[in-house]
Amino acid sequence: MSVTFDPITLEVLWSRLIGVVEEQARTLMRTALSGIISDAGDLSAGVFDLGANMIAQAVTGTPGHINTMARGARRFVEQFPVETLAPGDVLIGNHPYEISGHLNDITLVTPIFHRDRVVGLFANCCHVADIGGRGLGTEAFDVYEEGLYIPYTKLYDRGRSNEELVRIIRGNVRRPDLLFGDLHAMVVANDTGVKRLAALLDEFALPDIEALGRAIIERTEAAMRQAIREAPAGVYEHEMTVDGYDQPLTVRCRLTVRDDEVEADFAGSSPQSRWGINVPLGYITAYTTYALKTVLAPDIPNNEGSFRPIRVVAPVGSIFNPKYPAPVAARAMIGHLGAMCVIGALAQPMPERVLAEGATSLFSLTFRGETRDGQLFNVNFMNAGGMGARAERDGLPATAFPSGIRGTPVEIMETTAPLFIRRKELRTDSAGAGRARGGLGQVIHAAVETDKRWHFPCRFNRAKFPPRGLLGGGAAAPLVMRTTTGRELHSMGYHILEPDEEVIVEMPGGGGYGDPFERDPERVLRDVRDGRVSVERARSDYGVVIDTERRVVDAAATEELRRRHGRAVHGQPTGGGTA
Amino acid sequence: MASELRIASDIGGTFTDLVAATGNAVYLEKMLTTPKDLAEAVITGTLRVLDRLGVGLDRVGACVHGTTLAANTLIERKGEPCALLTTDGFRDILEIGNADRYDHYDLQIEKPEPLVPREWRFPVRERIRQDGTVATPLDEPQVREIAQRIRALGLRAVAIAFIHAYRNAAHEQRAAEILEAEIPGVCVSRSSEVAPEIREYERTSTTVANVYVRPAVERYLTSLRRRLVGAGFRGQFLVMLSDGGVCTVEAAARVPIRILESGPAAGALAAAHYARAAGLPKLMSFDMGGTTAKAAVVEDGRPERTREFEVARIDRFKRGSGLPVKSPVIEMIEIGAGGGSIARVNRMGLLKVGPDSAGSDPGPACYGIGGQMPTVTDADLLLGYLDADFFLGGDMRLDRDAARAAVEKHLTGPLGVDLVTAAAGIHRVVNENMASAARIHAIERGRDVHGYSLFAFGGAGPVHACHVAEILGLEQVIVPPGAGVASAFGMLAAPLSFSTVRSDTRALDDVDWRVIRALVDEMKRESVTMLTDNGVPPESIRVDLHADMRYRGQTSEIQVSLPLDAAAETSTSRETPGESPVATIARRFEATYRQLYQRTNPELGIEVVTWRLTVSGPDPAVPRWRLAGDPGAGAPVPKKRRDVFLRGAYESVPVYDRDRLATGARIAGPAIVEERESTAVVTPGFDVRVDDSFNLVLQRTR
Repeated sequence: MSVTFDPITLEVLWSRLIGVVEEQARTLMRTALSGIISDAGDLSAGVFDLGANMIAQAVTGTPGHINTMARGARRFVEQFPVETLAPGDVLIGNHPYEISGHLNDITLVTPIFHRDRVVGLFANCCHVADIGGRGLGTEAFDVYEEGLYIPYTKLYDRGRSNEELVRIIRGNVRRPDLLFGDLHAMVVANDTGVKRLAALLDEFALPDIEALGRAIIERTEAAMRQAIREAPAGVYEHEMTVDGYDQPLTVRCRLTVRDDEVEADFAGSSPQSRWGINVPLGYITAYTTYALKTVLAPDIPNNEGSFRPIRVVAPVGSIFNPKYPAPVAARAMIGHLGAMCVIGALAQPMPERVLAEGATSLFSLTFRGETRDGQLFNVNFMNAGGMGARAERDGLPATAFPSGIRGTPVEIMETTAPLFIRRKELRTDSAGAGRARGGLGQVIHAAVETDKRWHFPCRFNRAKFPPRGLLGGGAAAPLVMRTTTGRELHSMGYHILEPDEEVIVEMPGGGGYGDPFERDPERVLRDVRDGRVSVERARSDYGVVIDTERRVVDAAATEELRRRHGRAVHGQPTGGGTA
Repeated sequence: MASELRIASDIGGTFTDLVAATGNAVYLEKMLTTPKDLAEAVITGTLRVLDRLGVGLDRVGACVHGTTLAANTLIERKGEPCALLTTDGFRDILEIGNADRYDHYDLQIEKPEPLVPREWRFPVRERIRQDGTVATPLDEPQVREIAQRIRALGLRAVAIAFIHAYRNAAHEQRAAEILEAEIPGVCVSRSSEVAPEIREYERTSTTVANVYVRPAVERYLTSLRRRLVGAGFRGQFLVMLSDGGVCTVEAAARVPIRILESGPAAGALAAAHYARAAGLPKLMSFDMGGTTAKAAVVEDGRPERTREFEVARIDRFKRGSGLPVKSPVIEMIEIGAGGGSIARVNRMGLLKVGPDSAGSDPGPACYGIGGQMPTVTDADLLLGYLDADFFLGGDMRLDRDAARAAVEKHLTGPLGVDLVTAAAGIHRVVNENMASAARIHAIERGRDVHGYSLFAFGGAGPVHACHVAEILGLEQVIVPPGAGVASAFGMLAAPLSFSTVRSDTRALDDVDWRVIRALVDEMKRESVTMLTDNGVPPESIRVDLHADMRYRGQTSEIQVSLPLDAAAETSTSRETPGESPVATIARRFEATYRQLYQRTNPELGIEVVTWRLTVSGPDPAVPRWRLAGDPGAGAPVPKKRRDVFLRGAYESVPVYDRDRLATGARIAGPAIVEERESTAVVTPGFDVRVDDSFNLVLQRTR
């Protein structure tokens, strides 16, 4: 039977469907126990047709999960063909290479039954705080060491909890109560989706979601292809050198925009690493899709249709397509830089739509240990460095990109773990100079109030290779990590600190955009007065001389300095004079 | 009795609405807002309505006033330049915010500019720990030195927001004293006074916004009162709060952040008043105007409240793009769906309506004052829901041809449909948008919309209410008289009230009940005094206690209603005599948690994060409506018939003049009921009854 929809009915049904998945995600956020789901929003939720094609996805969520879950759903139905599923079944899995890139991301899939027939799937994927093993650090040798792998199995079988599996999981994680609280929230979220979708199908007398799904995917695909067609065709290559664990890594992307398709090829990027910074192909695919959409088609919804015109490839055995079981726990770090590399490539044809490199790495500071009264703690303090500058706008200070998660309040951190934060403040001179300045990074100084040694696993980038500027913009300051006892901390190491040792993390800002000597001196003065840029850097980076007594621009000295700079750069004066 | 005469005034962007209520009748007055001197329209309107009553200002017992001044001051950034004192090391709380992006796909977003530039944020050596103990004592000489710098800068407003000040206010208090001593005439707001709640960004943002608007609000309110008193007013002057209560000028001037959302709150109060009068346990207030639609849940006659919202958003319909404010407010959802909402075809070839609006300028195409894009009002006109010759009672003629041209130019071609289908599509899509928002709003509160009645007002509310009710499966729609002035009417139903709050995070099992009892007693004393000082007899004061609670490990809380004696040694309430406070509070928490999430987590400990106490006086008696026209006797007679698009085709439908419908009148749908400010569209599935307060009660018949 072939059902078609007029554009008005389709709009109504599509909006309703998005309402359903949005409700699924909100239910999840409100019922989850871990702050990383409820506050930080490290999750995704969506509805799929019988072929496991994603039809709609909640706006709530972070890019790394959205597109990975969309692809990961396929693996579930390969293992459990839809016709074998029964009402009350819930599938679980956390395959790091096939779904979301590391073991901490657990995906649950629930079949939708309508009039005694399976008509589709709901899935959601969440980051859980602990999955046993070494967890989120970089130091494990393989995924077996990183934590508990849950093969595709049934968490519920016809409504009955799979007790054997539950016992295995409970026996392998540090906080089983928290984990099962979150898993329950994930079950409830999918159930909510199933209930609402059934009501929707009843109201519109639809037998299933196949025709609707097809209409949505077709329209989206057509719009996505049109958006790609509007971009200048060509081959755009971009390369970044970034921190590796022990030696620098190359992140390289060759973007081919041809007719209505885009291919991103990461060949030429470094080989896979011995450390847990490898990025499974699914994860870089997700972030490539995200990066392309922000520049080419921010208004087109995420579903199977928007993925189809995009192809992502990377050689087997490279950092973006490692061989199982290479460790991947900290895959976000290089994965996010991969997204930045895609945007860097797009700067060639569309410089006005992109941004300069930013801190990119997410600064999720992890503190583990035991309190004075013997309780274990393991918390993530989410923070961000600065974003890169845009053609017409300064970069955003202390803002996560491309990750979409939220920071954690200091007061919440201090009431949930024995932390004492001495400083959390923007970092002067951390942004790259430019006609548009990068966003400032921040400085965090944290102590742990315990009488025992505590653990500080790190997985950060940008210590040796700070974010670069674009089109003449300057680079940002690099990441600096040290302790109050004067120890330098390896930005990807697993550190064990003395009780009275405190850490200071100075996060990078974003790169600048355009020649800083073209920045309006009054804006430079504003930055100096606000303490974002020092007087010295105003002079050296922007060619702006500040009269520190009167706190104004020394116009004559500035003009002279900028003229000399223009001669040095362009071999001729920027204004007046003789050639 | 003179004090029975009460007047409410609500200043909106375009109109200033006034409602005067005597013991037995209600009078309306609508004035154009006077932006240069907001008080002028209030005073002129008040005198004008009193003229109609034939009495003087000295006979007025109370004036209740609502204003958008505080909100507009923030939106337009026209407040008092101010400084901020922060804990050393935390200068940039305002700017770092939650480190997130409110739109993940737009690389060009800007975040709201902090109200205090970095140059004027002064770190102070001091630190309170999360348990309230002092880690670093306040460096008083440093505060003095900063005070001198602020003085030299010529700033006259200062916010103080220190880390964990909600737990121990001593440093903020002392710093405030020093500032007040060193800077003559300075206006200081402390976070421990304005929003003593955990989460430094939201608390700082609230405190800064408060002091930023304070001088303007204080000047305005005291001047308005002085002018009223000068004209002979001897009664009580009260200010509408965002949470549905009213307070004194002094209280409002000290914490003006609490009056930000007074207009929408008053609308929900009108709904709540109706729910109490009609004995309806479940009502949804639905207010659709020119730009937005707002929905609020009213349960057992009380609108739900929440404690956080945003103002001055960069993108009005994007959550997270504004300044967060922690202050009690009636919980409602606002979406970009109004008469001016623009319809267009998106990249997917689908019909989208809103959230952007043509507003009143350039307005819908049919206004003929420059608007070129098709809007909801244009569709409503083409479908016959609105009468081109009876918009605003005929004061404004609508241009049907312009509406048609706009729809044909922008929609019919790309959609591949005819004019009527496109217009009906606009109407349907906007109704769907509103219904979805209302449904999700209810669900997020653990409610199901089934069984609710819809209380529809605002200029466009009654036009769309039946269709929205049909989508939501609701059985009843109520359209109050004077749909355009419902907010001012709601103010008359507002009780005097005051809320206080304290954050104190503890495991429920570890709570020291002596401390909590002292805390609750102090909060109660503080707020009850506010009421008794204003003549409320102690015995008629209602006290509500709530706690924000969570399971250990969670970082967000739910609000739980508690019996007032929850902190007593043992419960004296009849439901569970002899129960310990821990057991009572745990039971209430679990019941609320279960209602929201259908489950509990008995293996996890429970924590209390924040205590909230609200005291309110008695609900004022609100008189019945007085009819402007002459209803006459006998069955209602339509003034005419017109073609209206219903059930997929135009059909001839009777049109009634609302002013001529008497109590008890009955009309079978389909029908149109017109009044000056709005038109009620009664769809075929509904019948109308006029109740004894002249509300239209639309009941589903099938």
